Amino acid sequence: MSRIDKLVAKAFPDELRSVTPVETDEDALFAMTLKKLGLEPAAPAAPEEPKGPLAFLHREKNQGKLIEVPLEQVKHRWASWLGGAIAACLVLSCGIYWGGWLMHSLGVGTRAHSAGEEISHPGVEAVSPSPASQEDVPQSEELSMQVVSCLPSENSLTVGVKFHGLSPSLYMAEVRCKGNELYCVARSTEGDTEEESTLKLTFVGEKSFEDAGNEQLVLRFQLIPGQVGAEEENAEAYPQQVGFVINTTSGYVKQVSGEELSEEWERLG
Amino acid sequence: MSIDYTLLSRIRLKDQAALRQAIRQFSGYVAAVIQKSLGPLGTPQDVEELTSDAFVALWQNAEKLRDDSDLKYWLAVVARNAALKRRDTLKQEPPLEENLISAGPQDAPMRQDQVMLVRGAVDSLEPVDREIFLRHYYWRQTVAQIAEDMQKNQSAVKSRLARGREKLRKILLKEDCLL
Repeated sequence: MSRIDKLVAKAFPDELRSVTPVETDEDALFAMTLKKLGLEPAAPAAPEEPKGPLAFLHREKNQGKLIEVPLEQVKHRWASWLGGAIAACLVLSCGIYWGGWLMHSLGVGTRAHSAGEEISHPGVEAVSPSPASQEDVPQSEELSMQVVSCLPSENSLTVGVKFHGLSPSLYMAEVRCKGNELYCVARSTEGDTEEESTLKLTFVGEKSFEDAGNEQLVLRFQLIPGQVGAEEENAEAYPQQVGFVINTTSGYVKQVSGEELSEEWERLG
Repeated sequence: MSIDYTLLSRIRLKDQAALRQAIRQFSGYVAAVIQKSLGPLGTPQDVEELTSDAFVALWQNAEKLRDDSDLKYWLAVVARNAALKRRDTLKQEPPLEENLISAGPQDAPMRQDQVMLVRGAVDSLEPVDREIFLRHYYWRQTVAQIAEDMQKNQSAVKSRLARGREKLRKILLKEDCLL
């Protein structure tokens, strides 16, 4: 390639984009590509497994023709009865489970949040924001932060925090781990809706957590001053601080708030 | 999340369905780039083989690509380079028309200002001259082929190419960036 066409090639990258596609035999190309890669065509995907509480009924139905039983002996009526019974159970359990929430939403009854609710499994329990002065801030189901994923590795940690009724942009994430400087190397939000969004943060330590001799860190969300304007209806409802104590070995997450958060924060300072 | 990123992620996981989707999505375009780069020398078999090669390269290099890669453009660049290489092996071509410009050292590093000057100079040509210039120096079409495609005689194509090179030479000389 001469010097001129090298320069021209570099100067006109968009020339390639203006090419009009031609017809191709996609199946032949795919087969040829697989052959060159030394791959066998993968088996076509199996039909999707039915999901949900009544899935087994579908499975029974699908597998029915494989059972060598005279047709007159097969009674499928039980399936519809059982299906109905399960559906009723589901409705009942949903009613029990969500009844409290519904009543609360309708303004009947109250729900008190305990500060520092422990999460038995990483990222399972929703934790409502716990302000520095909890009694001053109205608690609301509409306003929460929840660790939905926690993936620790040797010297890094990726945490997914779901914000409900809050904007992640209002918060500054800070992290502390005794004996280890942590840097936030990635921050992204997904599934942004007016109500919910998930913030994903990846922290990388200067050392591995093991070398630092500390397997605990505190992730603190601090309201960015001046971000919540007085004009916002629920400005006062925004918690000042929300914290999570995270075990980097097990991924165990514990929500902390108020004084407990301050203590944990200072302890790892 | 971009569609390209989703596709790339699946290819990284060696998902054959994703490869098939990439072929369905981009093969027409990749084949067109190859066809244009090979010119009349390329047979349909060459085009098909090189198109397949581009997707082999995608499968094998998916890990190395950046997450925000433009797959279509990446494939096009791979395809063009492979086609030009194949073209060189197919036939000993007449050298490109560049007698009026000092070719300079072949492996001298290209400076960004030179690239920008070339772009500016070529863009300032008349549309027909610009097309002829790019056909010749970008797509490496021969004078005869350009003349046939554009229904002009060869001497007219040559003189338009010379005009373009002269303009380029003047601009580059003025900027002290002679090739």
